[in-house]
Amino acid sequence: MREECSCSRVSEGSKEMGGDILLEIKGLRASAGKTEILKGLDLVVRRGETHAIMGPNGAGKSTLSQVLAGHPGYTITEGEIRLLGRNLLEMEPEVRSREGVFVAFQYPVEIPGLSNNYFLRTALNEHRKHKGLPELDGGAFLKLVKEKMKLVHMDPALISRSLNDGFSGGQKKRNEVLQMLLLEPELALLDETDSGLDIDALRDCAEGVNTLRSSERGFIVVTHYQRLLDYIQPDFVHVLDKGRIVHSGGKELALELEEKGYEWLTAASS
Amino acid sequence: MKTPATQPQWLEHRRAQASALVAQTGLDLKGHEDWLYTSPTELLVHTVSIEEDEIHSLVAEHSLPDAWQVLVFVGGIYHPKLSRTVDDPVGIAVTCMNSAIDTHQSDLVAWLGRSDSEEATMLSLNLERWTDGLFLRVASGHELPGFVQVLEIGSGSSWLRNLVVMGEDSKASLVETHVSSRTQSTSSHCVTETRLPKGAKLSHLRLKVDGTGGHHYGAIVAQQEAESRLESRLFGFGGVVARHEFHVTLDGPNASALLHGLVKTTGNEKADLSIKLRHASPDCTSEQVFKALADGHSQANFHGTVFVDRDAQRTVARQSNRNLLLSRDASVNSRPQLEILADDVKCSHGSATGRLDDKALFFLKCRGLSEVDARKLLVRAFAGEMLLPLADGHLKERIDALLGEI
Repeated sequence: MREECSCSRVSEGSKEMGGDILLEIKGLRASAGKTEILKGLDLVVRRGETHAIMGPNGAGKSTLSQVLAGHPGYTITEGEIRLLGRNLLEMEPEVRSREGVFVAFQYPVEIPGLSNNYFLRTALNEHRKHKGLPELDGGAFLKLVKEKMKLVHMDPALISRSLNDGFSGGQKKRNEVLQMLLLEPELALLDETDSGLDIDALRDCAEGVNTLRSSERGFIVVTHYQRLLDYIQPDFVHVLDKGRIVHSGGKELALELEEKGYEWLTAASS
Repeated sequence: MKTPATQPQWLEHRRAQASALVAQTGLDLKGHEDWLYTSPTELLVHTVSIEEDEIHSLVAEHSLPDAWQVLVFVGGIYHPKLSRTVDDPVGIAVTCMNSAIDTHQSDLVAWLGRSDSEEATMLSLNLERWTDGLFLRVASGHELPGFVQVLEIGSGSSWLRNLVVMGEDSKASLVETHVSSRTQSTSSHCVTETRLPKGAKLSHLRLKVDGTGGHHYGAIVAQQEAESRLESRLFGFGGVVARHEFHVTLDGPNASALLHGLVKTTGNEKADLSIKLRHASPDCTSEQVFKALADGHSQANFHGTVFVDRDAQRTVARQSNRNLLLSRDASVNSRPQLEILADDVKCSHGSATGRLDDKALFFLKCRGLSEVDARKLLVRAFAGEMLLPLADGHLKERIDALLGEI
């Protein structure tokens, strides 16, 4: 099956391991209220690399996504996160975004009354301003967004609808990937983008991600299932359990996990 | 106001009747069923006339270039030099009420104050005190070539009464802009009264932008006959105290009314929305959507009543009141009310008050928007439902810009 997949793509990055460090997480401890969820997490992502993070429910996968995005509901008690050497934890969520961090959310919010078009253009223009580029006017933006929408097979009509309002699960996730394609981040984290998707939507989202993969960018793909990794082939697979990475390997580890489950790894860590 | 010597006797009599109604209730109505949070006395304050320069700058800022005609009223009196008018086409009359007393006396005798509810004290007070206003007449089967704008510059205390007389199957569009001095204390009162006969369609929009000393009372009074359609929209910004009333009676089969209202309050402002909508005939439809955005220490109050008479079978009435609290100290009071005597009706009402959604704010920030811009977008989203139906043009841009000022 894997060999037949039309969008499988061997990362060129695998030949270029050792590129600049994009993201460095060291000894990260994070709590929600009084509950500590991340308990000393380490991870290094270099330019050109794609990392998959897998793990059982409650391991801390979503917390990692939220902490990276800068969600105010989590307290960092120890450790650090550096983006290209700079302290990410000191940055507001909007600054992280403009500096090139993108988190595709598991549950994108719906905002009735806010047109998708207006939202996407405002977001893109914030990024362009930050990069010192001129803002795009309505016409130029529409042309650009329609091109990008084709890449994820998104119905063009969705551009004039309210943001995610009444969108199906697949449409919401395509919209997340569309945002990523427009904002062209340095580092993107996809938080269970595959959950609740049918096979077509999964393939479209993965294709969108693969379009963006390059020797300059880094990706973190958080997922429960090996299935997504058939389409977005990772260079590294990590197993997160009880707030720490307990095992790392190459892409073959995902297959092994699919076969054996997590217990053989997580038992050792407890 | 025309002095008693020059005003016709019928008018003098009508003012006296109104005055007697006001005397019955008095003006200190706080605590009355219809005046739980405000009192007419709060609107009748010491005021100051505004400077000539400011009048000119307000007219330049608010007169709409895409209006067919603009009638400017300053301190409650028509100001032809600041207005932009054209000769009346066949079947249409646009003039000020003071002229209409002479030129359209029969219309005034027939309709002036006729739709006022006797229990509404401020309507009576307005009928007693009005000094001028717009007179608009559209004969049967005629349609205005564009919209008429009434631009009121509040200065001192002003009392306007607009009378819209429409013929069967006629069509008109009226925009009212009420603005006042940016800093001086003003008190403006404006009632727009209309009767829509069979098949008549009136689109009415009122934008109120008061300065820091603005007190405003505004009302629309409409009596609707069969198959007529009223769309009345209100956008209220700024001021100290504002009271907006809608008095609408659906009094002929298949008449319909759409009432929209959006008020934004900041600082110590107080805004009252009071709606009395009556279904007096079968097969009529009404839709109300009212929203408030309350910031600072401000207060926004909504009291919306729908009456459905015993004979008004197959009524469809929807009412929704949604409010957004933008600060911890802002408050909102919402009182939706249905009084239904008919048994075959579809009536719904809903009320919800909340704060800006933290999840939505965070999401927008994660896409690179600053806190301020994210809040603006969410406020726009909340108001989007009211803005969307407006035709593109200067007015829509202005309202959009006013919403953006948070």
